[in-house]
Amino acid sequence: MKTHIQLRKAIFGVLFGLFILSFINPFLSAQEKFRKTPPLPYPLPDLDFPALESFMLSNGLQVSVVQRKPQPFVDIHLIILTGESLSPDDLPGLASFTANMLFKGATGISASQIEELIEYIGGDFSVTTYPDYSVFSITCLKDYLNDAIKLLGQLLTQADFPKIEVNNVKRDMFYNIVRNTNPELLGRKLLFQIMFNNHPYGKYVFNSSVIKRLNRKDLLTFFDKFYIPNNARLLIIGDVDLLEVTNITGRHLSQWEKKNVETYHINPPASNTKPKICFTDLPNGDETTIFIGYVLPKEKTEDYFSYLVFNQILGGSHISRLIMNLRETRGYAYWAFSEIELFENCNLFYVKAKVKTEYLYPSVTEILREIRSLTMNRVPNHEIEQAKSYLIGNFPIQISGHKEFSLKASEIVALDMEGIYWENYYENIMYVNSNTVFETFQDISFLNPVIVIVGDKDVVLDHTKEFDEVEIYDNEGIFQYKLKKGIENDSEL
Amino acid sequence: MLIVTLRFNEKKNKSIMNLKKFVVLYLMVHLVSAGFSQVKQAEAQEPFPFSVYNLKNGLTIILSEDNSLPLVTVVCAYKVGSVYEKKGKTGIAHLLENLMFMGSRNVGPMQHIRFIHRIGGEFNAFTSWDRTLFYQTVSSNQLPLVLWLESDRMNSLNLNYSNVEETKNLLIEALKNQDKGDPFRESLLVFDQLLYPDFTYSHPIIGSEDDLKSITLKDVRDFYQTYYKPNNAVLCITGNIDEKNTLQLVRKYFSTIDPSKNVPRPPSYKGDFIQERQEQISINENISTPGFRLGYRIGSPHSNDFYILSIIDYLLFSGESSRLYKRLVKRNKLALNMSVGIERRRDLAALKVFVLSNNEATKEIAKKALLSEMNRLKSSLIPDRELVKIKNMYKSDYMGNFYSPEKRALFLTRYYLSGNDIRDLEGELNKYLRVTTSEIVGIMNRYFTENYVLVEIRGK
Repeated sequence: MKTHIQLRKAIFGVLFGLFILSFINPFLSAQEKFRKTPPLPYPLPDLDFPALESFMLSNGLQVSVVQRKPQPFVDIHLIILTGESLSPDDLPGLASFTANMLFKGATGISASQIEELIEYIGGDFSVTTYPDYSVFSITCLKDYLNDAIKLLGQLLTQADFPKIEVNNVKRDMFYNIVRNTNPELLGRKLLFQIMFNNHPYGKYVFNSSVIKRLNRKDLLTFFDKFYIPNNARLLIIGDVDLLEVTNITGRHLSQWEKKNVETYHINPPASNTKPKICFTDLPNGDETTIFIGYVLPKEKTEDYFSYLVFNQILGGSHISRLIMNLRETRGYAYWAFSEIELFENCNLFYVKAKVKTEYLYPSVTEILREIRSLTMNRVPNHEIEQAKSYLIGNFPIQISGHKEFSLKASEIVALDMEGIYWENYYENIMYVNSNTVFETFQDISFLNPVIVIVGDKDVVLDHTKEFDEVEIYDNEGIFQYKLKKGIENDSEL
Repeated sequence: MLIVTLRFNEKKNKSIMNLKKFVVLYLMVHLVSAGFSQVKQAEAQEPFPFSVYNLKNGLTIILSEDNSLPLVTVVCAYKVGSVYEKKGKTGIAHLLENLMFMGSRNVGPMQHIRFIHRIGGEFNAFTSWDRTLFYQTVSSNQLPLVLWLESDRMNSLNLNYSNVEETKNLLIEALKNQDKGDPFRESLLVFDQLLYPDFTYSHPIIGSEDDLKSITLKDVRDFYQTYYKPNNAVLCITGNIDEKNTLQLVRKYFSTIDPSKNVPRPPSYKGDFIQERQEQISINENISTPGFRLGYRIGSPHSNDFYILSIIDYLLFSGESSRLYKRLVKRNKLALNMSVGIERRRDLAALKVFVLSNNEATKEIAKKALLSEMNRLKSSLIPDRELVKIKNMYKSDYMGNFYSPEKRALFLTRYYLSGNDIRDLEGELNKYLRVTTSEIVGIMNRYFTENYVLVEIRGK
């Protein structure tokens, strides 16, 4: 009986205590059950790309149309299937120079009139040159599609490259190079130069001394040889249909003259035979930027999605291994990510990180260890699934703006990747598993990376003594000298 | 064109009847007034359809469906920003924005971010003078997760001594870095004080170091309890949604959150409109390129003048063929860098110009050239073709807000919070496109007088 009373007292005490507590802290009061745990997602929605329809003009220009409704803009991309890799060996930069000149005037229309006209049609334009191709993009209000294509036709068939603009463009290119004080751009440039040394892709980066040698005569030769319709593709995205585009392009682009196009085969670059560490001086406080790169073979279609998952696990986002290790766990880095850039004949895979200079050596060691671990061991299933979940959720975000969508589409058209992206993107990601990732990377060597370090010489070089050999370059990628275990060595490269 | 815009208070069955009556009445009014053609226009895509609802606790909900991609954007915005701060406590609005990521009853510190990252989503937040916005874009099947996260921090934010102090210290560090890293910041602070001579409107959003240090846990809790409530918030959801299901989800997560008993009205502006020209010099030894800041206080964002002022802004400064870019940057190479824009601070607005030049001499010429271009617009009509160009550029930028879920959600939220009736959005673009050349001359003479604010920027 006594025990019974004690129990009752105890229960009363507990209840009374909870009652009082509920007044003391409102957060301890009851809450709806659904607030306690995160809700489950709905079933995954479909990702349906609008159809990519293509036709060919009689001059060999392939025209592709993606109809997107309702959209008041059209995005127009002219892709010339020749990039910097086909610039002459003694004139790297000629492809970029030619591309930058296209919007700078034609017979009867000056550069400033072109700018004014494009703004008049509610538009803007941009020019980008890659190793494999160049893209000329115009966005304008849909009502002015005819004006935009007409202008494009005029630029391509009546290009006259005014001398005054030749000088202006050369000056802009020169200052873009010499005023480049962005450690990431500088690091990527040096990485590219070292990785593709003596390979046509190496021409993608060039220094300011080349600019002086670029001239109108070489430009005209390059233009005549490569700016031809049967070496180009036109992509139009917007609220337009195939018939409308057929009429407009036929009207304004069919007089663009077809010529014989020479075919060039570029072999994939040879792999590095030993690791290489390069440094360039760019004071930026106590931060040092690192690039670690590898050339990957051109993927087979079925491997492409394994590449994506691999990259996501290693350094594709803020929850990937690199950032969790280098920033969250060890506090070495401000950030650390990895990327894969796609080319026609190979792919470039690299890690980039901004680290605290004092942790330069351990950061490089950790990045290499993470890469090794990922290529030598099977990734646990939960990590694979996590990476796939990220990729599935993030891909539509990357293309959610009309410009982002159309830029991605232009890359797909330029690199002939329609099949990969336009069909079953989600399904292809879901198909990847631990085995497919492991097997994809079994034949790839990760032994000989190119490591590029960008930072303040006065501080960084003290932290490079643990590296056997470091090559020192100036900001334009010209070799200066070597350090062996931190000691200067004048021997030639 | 009819944009289906409904407002109602959620009640039980009885009010649903009221809603039905309201809808019928609403449609009848529109059908009668517009000769039935409005029904067809309700389906028009320009600008785009959206709906507005209110929950019983005062939460405003804006929904807009766009199924082009399997994405959804959720914006949760609170009507509070730096103008609501008291002297001595500046920076508290921005501090609270950061604390919103430090955990709530069912979500751990920084877990909000991790949840969004894990599903490949993207998020952001910002504080301005009169609002604080949190937004995230995710795959549309993850909408329940985002609503769960947003409602948890609206309902039960964890505010304790350690997370408040930790966040304060981070912000103080960021403030110091800003002072160190941006040699032009000092001139901006001076400029804002001259342009908006009222502390409430002119102080920086990030606050001051002393003020941040003086903010206590109680201050933060009071601020949260007052402003971070459903009746002071708007929730905007755009993208691949089903309106009915989305409303049900919103009700589930938000309808039981208590409203604030008293949300103070925003403080009114007590400064004087600029009556005479004001000039100052700002010197910073880290500056290698001299420059200047020039500002005009202009008509209220709610006035009809504002449409004309926006077109003038484009005419002078937008694009490489704009009058001032051509003259100062391209043709005469007087400016190394120029940034210009209209800024709104609640009911106030200003046109701000920032120019950097090679040297003192070119800076002086740039200043004169700028003023002379502006004066030219006071006495001569611009050519029709130029006006069409400006309007096309404006239209293009304006409509650029419609075609991604994130841009659309931010556009709708911004419009709603600007204090305009959201139903007016229907014809808003046309108000810009109807501006005439003579109106431009009139407005130039009214606002762009000699009574401007000028801050000269010099190095030592």
